[in-house]
Amino acid sequence: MIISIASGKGGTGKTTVALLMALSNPNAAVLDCDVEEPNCHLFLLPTWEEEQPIEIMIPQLNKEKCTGCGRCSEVCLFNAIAVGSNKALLFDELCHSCGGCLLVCPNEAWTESRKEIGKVRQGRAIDVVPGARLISGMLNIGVPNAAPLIKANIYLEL
Amino acid sequence: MKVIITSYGADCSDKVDPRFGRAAYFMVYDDQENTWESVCNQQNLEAAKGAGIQAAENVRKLEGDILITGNVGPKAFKVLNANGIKVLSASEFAVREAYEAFKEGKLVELTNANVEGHWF
Repeated sequence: MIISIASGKGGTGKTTVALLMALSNPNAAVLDCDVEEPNCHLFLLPTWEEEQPIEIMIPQLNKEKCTGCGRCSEVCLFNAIAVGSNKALLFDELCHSCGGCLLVCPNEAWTESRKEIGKVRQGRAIDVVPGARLISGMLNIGVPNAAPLIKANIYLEL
Repeated sequence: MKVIITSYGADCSDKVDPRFGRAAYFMVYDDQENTWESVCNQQNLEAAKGAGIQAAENVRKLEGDILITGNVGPKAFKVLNANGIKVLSASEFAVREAYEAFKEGKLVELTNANVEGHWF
């Protein structure tokens, strides 16, 4: 059974409730999806067993193939691409990895590249709530988009 | 040469809008034709992110050579700079007065973004 604990406001007791539930179920796995500031590990004090970097797709430009036609800039819903000096200019912090630019480019100037946005760690509590597993995501500093890491945090376990 | 000035309204008697990315209008002056044109920037006013980038794209597409506005953020400045568009700062002027001040060399050129981006 999956129980999700969420609230629109900080300090309401999400971590408290999640940890109390783990206390009452020896086979529980806690997924800390607050990838910007995870805190369950501060209470569970797990021994970390695994760490996995999580990457998202970011387009990469082949400047020689780019003619500055601007089609990628037109299609980008997130305003992540502009044109400067007749070449496409990517602001990757705005990119949502939709792949639209790759599809519309008439010269195949965009190719797929990867950018690491954070890590997912898995561990097991020893003293506090013995046996409870913790899956905790941690976003790299400066990365604006937490959603892909939250998804990775969930799907790696389920 | 085309001079683009951010404006609160669609007329050159309106005040210069100090915002660039989320300016209400762009006033475009073509000094060859001696004409003023107004372009609505509503789409970027409502953009969640990347308004500055998109506004800079619009200046490029309008073939602006000079941009007169109040504040430009880092991402917008990067696009303007990459396209060789000169950025001048003006505020408290009506659009037409800002253009006159530019002709008289009274406006300061921005060599870099002069405000932080919004959000991050």
